[in-house]
Amino acid sequence: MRSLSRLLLVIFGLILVGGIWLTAGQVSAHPLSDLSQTPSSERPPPLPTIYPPSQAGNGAQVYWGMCQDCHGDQGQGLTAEWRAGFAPDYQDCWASGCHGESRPDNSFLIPASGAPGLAGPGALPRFRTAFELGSYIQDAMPLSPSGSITPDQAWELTAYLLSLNNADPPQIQLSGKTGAAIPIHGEVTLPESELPGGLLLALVLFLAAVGVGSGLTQKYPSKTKSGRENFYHHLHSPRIPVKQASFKFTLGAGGLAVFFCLVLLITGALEMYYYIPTPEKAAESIQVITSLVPYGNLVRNLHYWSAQLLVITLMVHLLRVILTGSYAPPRSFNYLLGLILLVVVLLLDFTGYVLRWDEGIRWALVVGTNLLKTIPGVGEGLYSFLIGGSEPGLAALTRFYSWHIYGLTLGAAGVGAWHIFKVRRDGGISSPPPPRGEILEKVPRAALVKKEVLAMLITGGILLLLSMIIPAPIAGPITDGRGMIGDSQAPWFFIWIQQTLKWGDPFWWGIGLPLFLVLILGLLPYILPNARPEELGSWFPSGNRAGQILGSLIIGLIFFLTILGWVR
Amino acid sequence: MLFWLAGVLGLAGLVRYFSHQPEAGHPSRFDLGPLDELPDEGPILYPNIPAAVFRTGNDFRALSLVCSHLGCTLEPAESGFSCPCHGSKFSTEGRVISGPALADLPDLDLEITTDGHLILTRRDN
Repeated sequence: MRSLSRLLLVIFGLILVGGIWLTAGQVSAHPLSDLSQTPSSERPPPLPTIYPPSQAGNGAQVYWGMCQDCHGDQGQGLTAEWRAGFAPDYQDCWASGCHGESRPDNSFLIPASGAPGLAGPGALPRFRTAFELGSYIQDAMPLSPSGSITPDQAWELTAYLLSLNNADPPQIQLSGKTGAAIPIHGEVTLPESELPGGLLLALVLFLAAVGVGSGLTQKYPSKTKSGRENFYHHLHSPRIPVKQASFKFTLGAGGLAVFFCLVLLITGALEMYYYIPTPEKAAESIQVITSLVPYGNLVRNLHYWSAQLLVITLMVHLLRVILTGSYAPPRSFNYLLGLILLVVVLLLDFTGYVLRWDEGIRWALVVGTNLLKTIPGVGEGLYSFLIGGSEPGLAALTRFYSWHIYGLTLGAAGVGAWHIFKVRRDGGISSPPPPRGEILEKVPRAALVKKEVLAMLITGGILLLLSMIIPAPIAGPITDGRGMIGDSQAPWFFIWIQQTLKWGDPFWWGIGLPLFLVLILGLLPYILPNARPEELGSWFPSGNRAGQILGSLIIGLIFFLTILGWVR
Repeated sequence: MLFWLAGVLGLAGLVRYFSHQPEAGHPSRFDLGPLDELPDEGPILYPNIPAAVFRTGNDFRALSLVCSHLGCTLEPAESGFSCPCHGSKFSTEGRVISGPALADLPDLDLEITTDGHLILTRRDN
């Protein structure tokens, strides 16, 4: 009995020891079988969120969840000190079999140098701007599975890293629209509120207007001592017949266009002081203007909105001239000058739009320039003339820039001056010939200027309001290899061409048709009957009815296609 | 009168608009590399900083090579350093030998990191 119980005890003991040995052997053969476990044994608690959470605060939470195991709880990197907090078996990430050369399939390799530190002097040396850092985080982090974080999280992490590195993190919402303007190294000046700038500008406009108004009520000698009128009097027409100054007839479109051009010249000149026309810097410098330059956002928005409203104003002006038959000789040539101006302004708008050089304009630029290639015979030449190479790059941007600020602007100024001069030379705004021997009632200069100043003040106010409420579009800089991100829509004034392009052959629908429409508009005074002289000065004269219908149809078609493309 | 006021206000706005400086400052810390890779004698010239580093054993001294007259970069000359722009001459210690420069050249801060790199700091530009 005793020997049996002893034998059982020995067998039991052997099984126990063998089991322990076997189990232990298994453990030592595969020390870290549970790889889903994060190695940190004393994981610090997450940072408390302060409400409302800042972008950097949200980033701290994401960091705690995803990044700190490798990069350290303070962004110190995978230091021996940080690893000392891990469970003993896990402290050597490479030799433990987790992240070394021999590692399970579901793990990843950590470089021998370890995960880099993210905070402190000399950290993040390869990134210049928040945009570069944010894009890298989204593309490459975490190492496994990379690309698993959302763009929002990438920007939150970027904001958090900035707050780790700068004592004074930018009080700005980081995104593709602002990131390139925020340097990682070096101090960031805080962005400006738009309100003081807007109020200042409103005050300046108002004071100037009141100044003009009160100046007009005083009796100035209309001629200087030498007997000649001063320069301003030379520019501004002395007085015009009452009928020609009627807002109901002119809609004030020509004068408004001049006002918008003045705003565009001033704001455009201001933008030139900060804009850098290189592919690497262009989008970034626009972000600097928008986010960091005092009043910069206001200046850019004013430039943008004046440009958009100018196109609309010119279309209204064109329609008015057609529907009042005003293009009848002797004004038919000036009508052509006006059409040329419209085309030049559209080109100015397009080149200005391209100068953004961000994800938003990328495809419009590709489509617009490739469209030129389809012109038989001269297409390729035209393309290289415009682009300065085989694809858009530094040369193309330099050319667009020069066309925008110089070539086209100079052309518009020249043709514009000619256009305005011709208005006066052709006998002012169209009106019936005065009855014989009768003197027309005229508006004195003071009253005319008062009206104009009032119109500019109202338009300026609307422009200012628009600029402060609706920002001009902006997108992240163009980065290679990020594929199909970005806006594929044409700028709104070319949406109608984007629509016609869907109908067939790009040359005929994208270039032939628009040119044909402009040609028809230009020929209206020459091929169709014109309004009779005594009919001028009022809406819808019967003389050019056919011209009115054809012109309205063309402008209506463009309008309809624009709306169609916009809604889609 | 109001016209002038509007002009002055507008000018103030312009001054604020132009107050932003997009250019990041010139770097102020330069890593000159590990000590044992630096030559043993003679001034070592760093025209990009610009500075000259003198080594005596393991003692180092760095001299600014920005002319104290109007900022041109100095060239090595028989006496020490000379300015190609207006002809000022300096000794190797940075003392003015002949004008038009009036001030001596400043010494620059050097430090040696724990891993044996020589770090130069210049604060003046």
